[in-house]
Amino acid sequence: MTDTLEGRPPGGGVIGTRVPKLDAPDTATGRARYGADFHLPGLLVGRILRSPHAHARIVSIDTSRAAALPGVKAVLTGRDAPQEPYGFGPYGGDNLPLKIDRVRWVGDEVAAVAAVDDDVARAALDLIEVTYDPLPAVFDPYEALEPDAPQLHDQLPGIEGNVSMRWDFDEGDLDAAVAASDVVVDNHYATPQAVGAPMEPHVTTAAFDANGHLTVWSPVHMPYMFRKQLADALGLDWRRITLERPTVGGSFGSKIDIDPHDFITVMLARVTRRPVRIAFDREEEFVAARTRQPFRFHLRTGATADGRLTFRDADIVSDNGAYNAWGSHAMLVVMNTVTSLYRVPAVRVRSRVVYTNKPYGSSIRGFGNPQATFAVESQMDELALELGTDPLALRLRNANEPGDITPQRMRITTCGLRECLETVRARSGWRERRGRQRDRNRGLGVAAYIHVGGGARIYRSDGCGAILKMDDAGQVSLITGGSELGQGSETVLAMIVADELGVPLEAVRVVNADTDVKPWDVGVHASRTTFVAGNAARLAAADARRRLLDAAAEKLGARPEELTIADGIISVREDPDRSVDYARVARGELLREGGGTITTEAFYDPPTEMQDKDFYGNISASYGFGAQVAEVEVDPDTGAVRLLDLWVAQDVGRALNPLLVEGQIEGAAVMGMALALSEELTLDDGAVVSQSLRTYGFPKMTDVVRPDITLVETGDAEGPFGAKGAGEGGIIPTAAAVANAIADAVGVRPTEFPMRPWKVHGWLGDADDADG
Amino acid sequence: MAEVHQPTDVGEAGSILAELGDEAVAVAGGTDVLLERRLGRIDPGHLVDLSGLTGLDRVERHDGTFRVGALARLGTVLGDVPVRDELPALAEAAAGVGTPLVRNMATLGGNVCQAAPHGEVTPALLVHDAVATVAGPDGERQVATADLVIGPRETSLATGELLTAITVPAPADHGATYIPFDPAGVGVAVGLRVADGAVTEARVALCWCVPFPQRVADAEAALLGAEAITGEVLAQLAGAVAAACDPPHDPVYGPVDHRRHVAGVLSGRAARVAWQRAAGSWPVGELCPPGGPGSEEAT
Repeated sequence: MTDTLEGRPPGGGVIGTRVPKLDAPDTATGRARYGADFHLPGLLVGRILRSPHAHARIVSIDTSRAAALPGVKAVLTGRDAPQEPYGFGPYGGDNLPLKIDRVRWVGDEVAAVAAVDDDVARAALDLIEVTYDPLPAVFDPYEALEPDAPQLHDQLPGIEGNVSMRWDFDEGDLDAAVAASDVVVDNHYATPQAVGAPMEPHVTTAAFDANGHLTVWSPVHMPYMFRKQLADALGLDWRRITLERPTVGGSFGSKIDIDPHDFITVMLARVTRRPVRIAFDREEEFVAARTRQPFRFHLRTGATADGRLTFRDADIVSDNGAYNAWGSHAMLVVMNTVTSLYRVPAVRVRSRVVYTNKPYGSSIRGFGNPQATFAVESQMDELALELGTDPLALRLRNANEPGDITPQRMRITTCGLRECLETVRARSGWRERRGRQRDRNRGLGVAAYIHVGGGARIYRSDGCGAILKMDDAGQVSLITGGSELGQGSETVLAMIVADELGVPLEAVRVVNADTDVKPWDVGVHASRTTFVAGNAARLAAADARRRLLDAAAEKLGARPEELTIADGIISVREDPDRSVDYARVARGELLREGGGTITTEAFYDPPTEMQDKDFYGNISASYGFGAQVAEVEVDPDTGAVRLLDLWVAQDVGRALNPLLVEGQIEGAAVMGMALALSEELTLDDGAVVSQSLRTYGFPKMTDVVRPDITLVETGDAEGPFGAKGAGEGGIIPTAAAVANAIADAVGVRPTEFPMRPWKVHGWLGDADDADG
Repeated sequence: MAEVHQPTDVGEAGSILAELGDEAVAVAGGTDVLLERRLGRIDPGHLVDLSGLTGLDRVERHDGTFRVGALARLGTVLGDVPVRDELPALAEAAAGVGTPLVRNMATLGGNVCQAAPHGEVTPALLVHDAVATVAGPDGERQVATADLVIGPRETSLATGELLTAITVPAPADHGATYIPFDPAGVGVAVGLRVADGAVTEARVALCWCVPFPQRVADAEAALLGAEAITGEVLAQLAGAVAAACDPPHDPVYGPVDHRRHVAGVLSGRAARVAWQRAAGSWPVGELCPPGGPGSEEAT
C-alpha cells in the first residue's frame, strides 16, 4: 500500500502549518479529565505500605489491627493474593507486586489497604506491623560486582553475582585501531538517578463489573503490553480486561511500565469487589516512580593526528536498582550511541546491568541516550583539546553522512548532522566567541546526538493500527493505536488525515479509545508516534480517499484518477466546475441501496530489523540527529553555573507542525538544562530524601532559558510527509554541551552531571591544587 | 481528622487557642502547616484558621517605619513599592519563598512563627531590628524578633498569644539585603548603618544552614567599625559566618563544607550590597539577585 503514497503532494495544505494543539483549550481551562478526576460508585482508596529498609527479610506481617479499623475494606500482603513474578530479563521475572519474604529497596511494596477514604487508608497503614530482619545492602554498582557483595536475586536460577545482563559488542580490529591512533583519551563519567517528575503523579483505578469484566484506567504508554502483563501476573483472562486511558498529565517515560501499584489496585478491587483507586501524592511520586538509570562509563577514544576517529572502547555499568523494569534495557540505546555517533571504524563495548538496593528504572525521555551522549561528547572535547583542534570542527570531520552503515549496521538514510552542527556554529557566534571569554568565566560548548527516528524494533512488531470512519455529516473519526500523553500526537495525526484526505481539519476527530476499540500498537516510546501511528493514519486516510474518489467518479461522470480533493471539495482536475462535496459523497455511500459506511483500516510496521544476538541490526527506519551549543557563566566562588543561552538545531525530517515540534524540542531542552545542572534523586542510605520539586532540583522558569531553535528538514522518504521522530532529541545533548561550555569557561572538565555548585566548586579546587 | 475553628477576630482566635492549648495549631496561609500535617510531622487535633481575621494583612509606612500585618501575604510584601524601595531585604526574603502561587498564600507572620530552619523572612527582620507585636489575653506586648524566634520550630509565644504585626524601622543611613543560595540551602542577611564612612551598627543573620534563623555575633563584630569592605574584613566575616553555619544533616544540599563556604561567600556579597544601600550607591528599588551579585560585579 505504501507505494500509492509516493510522489503525490499533500492535499489540503494543513501539513507544515502552526496549528495549536487541539486539546489545549480543554487542558488550559481545566476541562480535561485526568485519572483522579472522576468518581465511580463505591470507589475505595488504596494505599501501599512500603519497606523502610533497603534490603531485609520479611519475618512476619500482622495486619489484624489494620483490618479491624472501621472503614477498612481489605488489607493485602504478598501471601494473601495470587501473583506471579514479572519483569524483563534472561533469568525470568524478578519482581512481584507485593513482596512475600524479602524487600530490596526503600519503597518496596509490602502490604496494601483499601478503605473508604484516604485518612482511614493512611491510618490503616500505620497499624500494619511488619517485622524485618535487615540484610546488608549495596548502593554502588561497582561494589555490587565484588564477590562478597550482598546478593539481591540469588533466588533466580543461573544468575551470577548481581549481573542481571551482560551485553558485549565488537566491531573492527580494536588492537590495530589503537596502534594506529596518534592520540588516545581515557576518562570515567557518571550520571545520576533522575525521574520524569510529571505534573500528574501516577494514578490507577480498577473496577470489575458484575460479570467479572475488568476495566483499568491508567495513564500508560503501552495499553496492550500493560494488559498482557497484568493478566499474566494476576492470572486473569486478558480477553476480559479493558484498558482506558484518561487524559495524561505528563509522563516523560515515567509511566511507560506497568508498576506494582497497578497490579495492587486490581488485587484490591478483586478482593473487595469494589472499584479501587491508588493515587500517588508528590512525595510518593518521588519515592516510588520509576527512574532514569544512573550509568558509569569508562571510555577511551582514539584519533589520528589529522582528527579522524579510530576507535571507541567502552566499559559501561548500569546501576539498575532492585528490579528489571524498562530501564534495565536502556543499555541497548547507550550502545547505539557509543558505536554510532560519528564515524567510528572500531568499537568495543563491555557492559553490565547490575542490581543495587535502590529505586529501579524506566525509559525516561532519551532512554539512556543523554547519559551515553554525555560520555561520548565530553570525550570528543577532550580529544579536541589533545589534538589542538576546534571541537566543532572535529565533529564535522567525523560526522555521520547519508548512506552510512554504522558498526551495529544501522542504516542511515537522511542525516542532517552536518547542517545541524553548522547551524548552531553560526547562530551562537562560535568562531568569534568560543574560547575567548575565560576572563569573564564564560564559555561555549557543543554536543550532538543520534537517536532512533523511525520507530525502534524492540518487540517482534513495531507496528501500529489505524481505523478511519466517515459518517453522514462527513465527520472523519480516526481511531488510532497511538496514545496521546500531551506530546500533541493527536493534533498531528488529525493533520495527517486531513491532508491526506483533502478535508478541512475541523472535520477530523481523533478518538482516544480504550482497548475495546483501539487497534493494536506497541505503545509510546522511542519518539515513534508521529512516524509509526502517523504512517498508519496516512495509509488509512489514503484508502478512504480512494473510496471517496471511486464513489464520486460515478456521480461526476469521470474516472477516479481524473479527480482531486481540496478543502473537502472533490472536483475534476481539468474541469473544476464539475465538483461535489466529500460529505455528500460519504452520505450517498451510506444511503444508497446496498450502501455502507466508509470505514478503512491500516497497519504500519516499519521496514526494520530486530538486533541479533551480536547486536547487529537496523532497528529504526530513520535516525534523528541534532546539535546544541550552550553558553554558561560560572561563579568560581560558589561553583554556581548560570546557563545564558542554548542554541538548538534538530533534523526533524519535516516539520508537520512547526509549532508543536518546536514545543517538543523546547520542552525536551528545558528538561536537558535541568538534568545538566540541578535534577537528581538524592538517596541517603538508599532512601529517597529529595521528595519535593525543590529538593529534587526541579527548575523554576528563572533557572532556564528559552532555546533558540532551528528546524532542519531533510525530508525522510519513509516518514509521513517526510517527518521523523523528534520528541526526545532535545534532551539528549544538553548536559554534554553544558559540560563542554563549563570546560571552555573555567578550564576544568566536568565528568558527571548534574553539575551542581559543590561539584563544580570541587573541580575548580582540584584544578587549583594541581596548579599549586 | 482535625477539627477546624474559624474565629473572626484576634480575641476569639486567642481564646480558642488558649482553651485548646497544645491540641491546636494556628493556620495563616497554610503553606507550611498543611504540608507538615500531610507529611505526618504534626498531627494537631484542632486547626485554628486565621483567614477570617480582618485588618491584619496591610503594609503601612509612617515616618520611616513600616508596620506589616502578620497576615500580609508574601506576594503583597514583595509587590509593595515602598517596601522594595526602603526595605529591599524584606522584599528579597519574600521573593525567596516558593513561587508566585505559594507567595500569594503564605503570610509574613506564618513564615516567622513557623521558626523553620529555612524561614527566609526572619533574617531580614533580624538585621532591621524589627519588633513584633503580640496580642494575648492580657493585651498587647512588643518583642524583638530575636526574642520571638528562639529555637527550631519554637517561638516565645505563650498559649493563646498571636503575632499580629511586625514593626520595621528603615532609617535612611541603614542598608540591608537578604541573599539566598537555593542549591546549597543557605540564606544570609546583612544590615549596616554607615555614618561618616564607617559602620556604626552591623547585623548579620543566617537561615537554612542553621537550626533556626539567628544572628551571628562574631560576624557582626567583624563588620563593626569597618571603614570599607576590605579583604581583611571579608575574611573575618566569612570565617565567622562559616563557623556559625551548623546545618542539620541533609544531603540534598550537598556537602556541609561547601554550604559553610557558600555562607561565607554570600556574607561578603551581602555586606557589599548593604554598604552600597546604606551609602545610597545601590539603585533604589532594584532587588539583589539570588546568589548575590557575582564576584566580578561586586569588586
